[in-house]
This record gives sequence, structure tokens and C-alpha cells, in this order.
Amino acid sequence: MIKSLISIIIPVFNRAHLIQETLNSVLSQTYQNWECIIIDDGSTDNSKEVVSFYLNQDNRFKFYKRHNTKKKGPSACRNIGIEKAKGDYVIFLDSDDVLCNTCLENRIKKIERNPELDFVVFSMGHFKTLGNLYVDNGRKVFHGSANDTIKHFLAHKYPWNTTRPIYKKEFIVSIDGFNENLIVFTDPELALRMLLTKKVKYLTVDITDCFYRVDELHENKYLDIEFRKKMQSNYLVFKTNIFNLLTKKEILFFSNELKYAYAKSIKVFNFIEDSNKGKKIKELFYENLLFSFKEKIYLNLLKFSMRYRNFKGMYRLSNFLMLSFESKVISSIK
Amino acid sequence: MDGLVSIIIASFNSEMFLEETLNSIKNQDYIYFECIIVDDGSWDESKHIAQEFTIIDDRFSYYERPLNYDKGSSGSRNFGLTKATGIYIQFFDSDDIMLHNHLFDKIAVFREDDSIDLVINEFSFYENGKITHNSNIKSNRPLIDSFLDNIEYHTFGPLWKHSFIKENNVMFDFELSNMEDWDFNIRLLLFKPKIVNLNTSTILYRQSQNSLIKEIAKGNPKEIKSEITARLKILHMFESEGIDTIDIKKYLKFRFRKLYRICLENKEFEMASFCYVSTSKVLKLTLLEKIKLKVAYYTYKLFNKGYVLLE
Repeated sequence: MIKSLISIIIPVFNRAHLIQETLNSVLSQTYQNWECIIIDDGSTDNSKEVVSFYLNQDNRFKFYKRHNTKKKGPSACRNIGIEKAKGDYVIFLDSDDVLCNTCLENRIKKIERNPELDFVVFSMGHFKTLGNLYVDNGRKVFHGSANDTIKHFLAHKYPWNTTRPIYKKEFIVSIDGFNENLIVFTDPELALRMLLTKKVKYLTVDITDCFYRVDELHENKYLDIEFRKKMQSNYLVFKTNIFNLLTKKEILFFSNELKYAYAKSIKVFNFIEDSNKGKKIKELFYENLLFSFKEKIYLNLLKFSMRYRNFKGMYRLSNFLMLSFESKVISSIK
Repeated sequence: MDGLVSIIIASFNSEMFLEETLNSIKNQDYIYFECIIVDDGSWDESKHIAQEFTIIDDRFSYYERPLNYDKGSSGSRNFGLTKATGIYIQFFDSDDIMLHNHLFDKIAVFREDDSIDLVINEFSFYENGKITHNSNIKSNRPLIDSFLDNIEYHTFGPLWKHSFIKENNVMFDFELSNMEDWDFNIRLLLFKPKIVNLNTSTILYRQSQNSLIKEIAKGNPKEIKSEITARLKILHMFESEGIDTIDIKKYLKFRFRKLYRICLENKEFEMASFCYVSTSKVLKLTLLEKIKLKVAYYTYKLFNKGYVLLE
């Protein structure tokens, strides 16, 4: 086949110390016909200098800054990348993750041999240092129908994340890219939007060709209360969008997964004092779903057990309550 | 006005039978066709034979597969497709024979109903100048029956509407050297074409010494790997479409065990391992089944025996 161009889109924010390894992994690809579009999200460290080294070395690297008029966050940056991308295919890469050197070669083969597909999903390993790249032996390779895929995303059991798919560019353009109002939940929102609004054809291939950086600093971000608050307001936006996309019939069909998602949100956002967003989330779910009497009691108990989770037995109680929602999800997913 | 049929033939070192094949096309009752012959790098006389036909009959055209298309029948056919200008597409192999009424009978079906996307013909297995038996194409569920090998389409069975192939953007999988036509047909069937079967045989399917079926029986690892790859890929596609795969998985277990045995009997141990790994990942094997397969590997390796374990 004619050598197709692959656009690799990387949003960067204050990753000067890590992005070198990422960009090196792009530079060392066996498949040469790529362009790498780096978009700066307003970094305050010397990310720009680090990137300049690559821009000067190889003109396949391109650099843009997110304009002030656009919302902060990876979504707007990725959308800028999509706009500027000249390739036939697109891969999104985070500024601290890496690709194995045959990644592009593999991916282009698998998507070009079946040109009727919109995207192909690969597997991802993890690493702390480049010397030790781990293939995830416990990885789940998801092969499912459109409905099963939707169910998995709704229940927050994501079948894939940012870097795992290679998309046809025209497909990504046709779904209008990422939702710029979100800084978290960007991937499940994109996936659900594409699965709910289009007839999507995709395949999963179990080849591990990219690696996710496990970084203590990164993990601790989730414990920070300010970040959790942002997560909660993002969650509200995310779920509001989803309910807007779902028809009444679909809400009924996916009700187990939606109820489980609500239970999970109670668990995750429990220690936030600002109950305003929490109330709105509750309103959203109660408006759209019919909870049984038992379910309502369980949810209130869950709230109670999370508030007093330091007391004896509360942890076990919360687990039991979550399981009662989760088991319905597991049984409807084959 | 009768529609043009584009006949696409991938040819590789086919000097033995190509002339007979091309003559059978030249003698079609239905005259509105273009025959696109794509040569895949032959070094025998087949190139000259093909070129001769282009001189005496301007419906025939000859190309050499360009470098930016992968080597193999997939790459050649995909290239041929880009040269096709017809309303209907007939893929054909360089050693089979088209009976004189083949195109005429198929076009007649389209003439009756223009909304049809696909016409399938029966064909005859042809060995040493004799017809042994005919293929089976009748089915209520062609997708599943294709997978289970209950029906056979092959390269030449289908006559597709060109627009159906174009709109759905399906091409031959260039990673497959075997069953690439099976894979292509099934992937197009997933788009639910309107199908009509022609219940008379209009093609002679030549069985030769080095046909792919015989290559598999000899344990050729490239062809076996291609079959495994194709079947697993299509299985996953079926799962994505929400098609019930219970019968298919049962059949796969049986088929993979057969391929596994062929590998072991032909001392292709690496391919046997590949077969085992692919099977056990996707088809849930019981502990007993796994033990039998593993033990058979060693008994074959050491003693070249163990058929009983693989029944």
C-alpha cells in the first residue's frame, strides 16, 4: 500500500523532565512516515526548550501553543492537533508515555488490511523506568459488540484508554473530537459519544505496543482534594452529556450500568464537603432512572457508610452495597 | 444497456493453465467485460501468455503489481480493483475455467432485480479432466455457514456490485496468504448484502498438486498461520457485531485441533505451539483438553506418535 501518514498528537503541560523519553520513542519508530504534533497547554517549566531540541533536529515534529481563547486542558490541545493533522490516521499519546519502536509499523498494517474499520485498539503495558517495560499479564483483551462496549464504558470498566487506538482521521473529525469542557473522563466521553451517535466498526488486537508511565507524583494527584472537586464537576458535565445522548429506551437498557456508576460516584466523591455538585449529580440520576425502594435504601446506606467510614464495619458495609450494584453489571456483560 | 463486468485475475507463475483460463473468459456468451490481469512477479511464460491476449482482444489488459502494493494475491487483487471500471466485479483465479454461460447467467439475475448486491454461483471440483462433485452454497445464514465451511464461495463464486465493495471500503487482507478470499467475502457479508444464489455450476475449480488445501495437509506453516490468523480475526469481528459465536467456537476447537495434529505429524513444532497458544487464549479449553494437547506435543516430538490424544 502507499505509505500512509500517521499523525501522533501529544498535548504537553509541565512535563519537561519526562517528555524526552516520549519523543525519543517516536523518533525511533521503524515506520518512518509520521508527523508528531505537540501542543503546549500553557507550560510554566522549560517544556518548550526541551521540545525545541526535537523541532530543530527533525521537521516531522511540529509545535503549537494553545491559544488563550481555548479552554485549558488536554481536550482543547488534542482538538488543535486534530485540526492541524495532515495524516490519514491519528494516534493520541500522553507526554509521559512511550511507544515501542514497532508500534506504528504494527498499527498501520492492522488498520490498512481492514480498511472498513474506523479504528483498531491495541494493548498497553506499564513502566517506571525505560529499562523495565512490563507487559501486563493480567490484561483483559476486550472483544465485544457495540452494546457491550457501551456497557463497559458506562460502568467505568474502560475497554481502552487514550493511546491504545489508532483512528482513521476522517472518523475522529466526523465526531468533532474531544469535549473541551472536560479535563478528566475525556476518553470515556469520546468513546461513548462515538458509540452512541454512529455505527462504529472496530477491532481489538492483543499486541502490547505502548507503555503507560507509573509515576508516584501522578498517582497522588487523585488524593488532592482540589483535584477531586474538579473531578466531581467534570463528572457532572460528563454524565449530563451522556444522558442527553441516550434515548429513553437506551437508558432502560443500560440502567444496571448507570445505577452502578452512580453508586461508584457516591463512593469516590464522598469526602467532598461541597454537597452542591453532589446534589446535582443525584438529581441527574434520579431524574433519568427509576430506582427501586431497595436501591434507594442501599444508596443512602452507602452514603452513610462512606461518611462514617472510619468506624468499625463501615468498610465492609460499603463493599457489600457496591457489590450488590456491581453484580448486576457483571451478569449483563458476558 | 448491459453493465460492464470487471474480471480481476491475480497471476503468479501460472503458465500451465493460464491460456485455458483466459480462453474460457474470451469465449463468454456475455461480451461486455474487461479482464484485468495483474502479474505478481512471475518469471515463467505466463506474462507473455497474458500479454498475447491483450493484443488479440482489447477487453484484456495486463498490469504488473506495483511495489506499493504488497506481494501476494491480496495486493494484486487490490491493485486490480483500482483499475476496474465495471459495474460488477468478478474475481477469478489463473487456473480455473469459466463455462461459456457463467457471466450471462449471473447478469441475468441482476437484470431481473437491480437492488441485488451479490450473486453466488455453484462450482464444480475439477481434477484430471473430470468433475468430482459440486460445491454447496445454499444457506439461510451465510455468515455463519461460511465460517463453518458448510458453504464455499472462494474467489470466483461471488459476482459483486462494484458500488457495494466501494461504499463499504473492504479490500483483501494483505497479511493473509491463505483464505484471503474467505476473509474478504465474510467481511463484505457483514454489511448485509442482498444475495441471490445460482443453483447451477458455471465454473470448474481445478484441483492441482500444489493447491492450498494440499499445502495445509503437508503442514506448510505459512498457510496454517494464515488460516489461524484469518479465523481468529473473523471470530473477533463476529463478536463485535454481536453475532452468536457458540457454533463457531465449537468448530474452531475442532479445526484447530486438526491443524495442531497436522503440524505435529509434519514436525512443525513451532507452528504447533502457535496453534496451541492461539486456541487456548480464545476458546476456553478444559484442563483435560490442555493436558492432552501438551502431552501430544511431547509424544510426537520424541516418538512421532500420539494420534489417540488428538481424536
